[in-house]
Amino acid sequence: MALAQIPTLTVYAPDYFTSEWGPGPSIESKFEETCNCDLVFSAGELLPRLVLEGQNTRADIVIGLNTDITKKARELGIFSPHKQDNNRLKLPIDWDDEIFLPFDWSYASFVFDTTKTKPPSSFEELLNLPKNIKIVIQDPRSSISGLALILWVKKIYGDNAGEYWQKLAPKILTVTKGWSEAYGLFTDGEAAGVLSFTTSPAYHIAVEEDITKKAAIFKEGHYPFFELAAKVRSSKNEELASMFMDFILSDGFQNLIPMTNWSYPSAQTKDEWPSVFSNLPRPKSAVYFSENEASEITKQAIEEWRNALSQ
Amino acid sequence: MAQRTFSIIANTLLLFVVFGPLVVLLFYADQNLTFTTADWAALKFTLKQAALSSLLSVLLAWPLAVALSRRHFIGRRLLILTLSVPFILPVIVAVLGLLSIFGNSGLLNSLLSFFGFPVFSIYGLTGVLLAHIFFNIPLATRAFLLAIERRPAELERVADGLNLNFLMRFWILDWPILRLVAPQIFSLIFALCLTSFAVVLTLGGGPKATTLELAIYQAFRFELDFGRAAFLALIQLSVATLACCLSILVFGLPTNFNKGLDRPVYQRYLSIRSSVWDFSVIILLGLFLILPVISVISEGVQHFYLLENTIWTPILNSINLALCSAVISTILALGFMSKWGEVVGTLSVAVSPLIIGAGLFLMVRNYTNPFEITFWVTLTVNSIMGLPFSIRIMRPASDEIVSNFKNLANALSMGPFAWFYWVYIPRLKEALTYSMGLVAALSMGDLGVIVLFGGADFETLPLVIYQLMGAYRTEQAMASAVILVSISIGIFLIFDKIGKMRNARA
Repeated sequence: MALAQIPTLTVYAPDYFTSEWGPGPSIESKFEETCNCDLVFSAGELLPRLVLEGQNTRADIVIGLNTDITKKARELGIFSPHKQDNNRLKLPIDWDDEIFLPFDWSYASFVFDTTKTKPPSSFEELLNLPKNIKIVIQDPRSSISGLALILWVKKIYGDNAGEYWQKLAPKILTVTKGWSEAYGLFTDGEAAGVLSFTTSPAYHIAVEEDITKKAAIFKEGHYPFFELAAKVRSSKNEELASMFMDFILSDGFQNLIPMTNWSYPSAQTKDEWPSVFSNLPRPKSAVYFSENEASEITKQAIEEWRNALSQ
Repeated sequence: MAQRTFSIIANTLLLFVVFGPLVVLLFYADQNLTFTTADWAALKFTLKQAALSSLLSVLLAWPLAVALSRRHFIGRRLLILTLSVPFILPVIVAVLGLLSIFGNSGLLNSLLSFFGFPVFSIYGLTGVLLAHIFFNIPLATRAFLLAIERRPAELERVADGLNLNFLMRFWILDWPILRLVAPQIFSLIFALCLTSFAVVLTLGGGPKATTLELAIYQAFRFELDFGRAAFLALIQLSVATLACCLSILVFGLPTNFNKGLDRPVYQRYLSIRSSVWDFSVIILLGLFLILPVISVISEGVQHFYLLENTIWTPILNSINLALCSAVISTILALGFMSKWGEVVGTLSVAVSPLIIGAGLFLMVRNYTNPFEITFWVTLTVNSIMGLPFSIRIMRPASDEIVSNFKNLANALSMGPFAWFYWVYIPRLKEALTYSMGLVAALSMGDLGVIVLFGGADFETLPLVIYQLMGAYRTEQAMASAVILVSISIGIFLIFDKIGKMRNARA
């Protein structure tokens, strides 16, 4: 029997997404159940790669972009509208972006080892932790979660952000290149707290049955962090790509997210989440810069941070 | 003649792989390339830490190499071998290992606080230097040791016969080796430390410890400003070239030992005082290099049960890559056996892998889809990155063979093939196999360019370790790191054995 040629959908995704411990493999098999196609993930850097490839890109879909760099991505003009109903999204903020579709989200937060200290409940309390309690953060110049923290502090403290960083400096054990290094230092016991997400403790509870790691919930509100997918304009599999965008908001996809990407699915309400997620404490409010505000303020906010921590 | 042709081919290839990417990326540059105040600060810090790191590594490695060369004790070979491990650990794992000893809650601080001393903080310039000497002392020690062991044994006898004092011995026996090898090793370590960024940031404690490489990464990944990334990379490369030229061309002088009779190593009578000194050096530096490794291994072994079967493919990929790049690197290095070759050969480690990766991509994209040839791209980059190590390991031996035997060979009208087969290769064998072992091990542990290109179709062991770290699985990552280290040591050992096998002619 001759096999009919089935079409291939190429999805560019970050490394952690496609690895066997990420959501990639299960999403691939779930989608292939119904699409009559071959979904191929291609891992690596996303935006640099798309720019290098230009019009010759093979990507049909890009998944795993972050909100803080969407302006740059949008200006490239290589994406087409996602054509999904944004009202189906269940996010802490209103979403009206026609290009980028969030598939999961979480809040930036400091995660603490509660055997070492009680998590603080505000930025001010963070300053007043015992002297030997230190935190590890990520560099905003090389890490997207690090950048989220800078914007978060800027949103709360405005013109006084630099001053806050100066006060926080003694609490910061060190600054790492990316999330992995920081989290490694934290799990190794080098620091009592780490900049991560409110959903991080879910991993420790669900996989390690460890309930000692808790996210500090700040009363000032938290900076939400979205992960996005977008359709590539030059895609020759328009129909299949649209099908994948539909799939992202379906339960088939959304159900896989929490336990593989350790974050909230974007189109489900709290009662649809696994209990380990719905039981996690959550911030009262989201504080957030719009894309344009963020891109205007980023450079200055990073400079303030750098100056404060370089003294 | 044949040798010259090969040398030209090898040099051209290297320059193509190093400068090609820079040039194609510079085309993306717009008019307003600026070097900001932050860049200046980064450049200053980069230079300072690289200079101090390489100086300290060389200064500490020398007494260790001398001590190891004149002491013969049980387990010496094993010790020399394990001393090389820091060099091949994936960066993130090595950092965790170092912190388990020198960190906030590490062994050292537990001891200090137990005895009521104030706590020691590794974060800052201290941490950066500590990490860099941890990585690089092994390299420097092996290079010195290779040179010392090649010194004609007769010289030691004569020195003893003349009853030379400590200073005279140093001046006559050691200095000629130091002045040749130290500048070579200094320049290599300098170039390596120049591009270091994850370690520097983490152990440097914050943005004070920013290197130029971070700015390159930022420009490339976040700002998508490839022109600026290439511009900064060019500055980095120029600094490395300058340092290399200075140290090798200006300060590096050739040894002037005459040929010995290849007598076995001569066991000198050594005083108690020098024994105490030698063993103190060996024990102190040995502990410094080995304790973090032991900590990594003991933590990893506990979590072996977490390892999954899927790890086999990346293991095989990594071994394949390591062996291929070891052979290519070592063969290519034969084309760089001169002072200039050494300078040129160092350039590859002074260019950020990100730039080489992206540039190569642009260079081949009109002919093929680069992501379908991940293996070949990675192999090219790894071989080129291994080159400076191969060159440094083999050049002293090669020079010596040429100066001792070339005239004789010419007098016998030996053809190039006979020269290579009967004279050159058998005598170069130990350096040759050490070079292969080292490059293989290095390539095993290198994440490098795969971050840009890597992925579902071609995974290496270091990539898997990073993926595990990125998926909360630090413990499983540590277990995988132990596998990585064991395989690297295994490969290293096999090459070492081959190198130590007696040649048939003897």
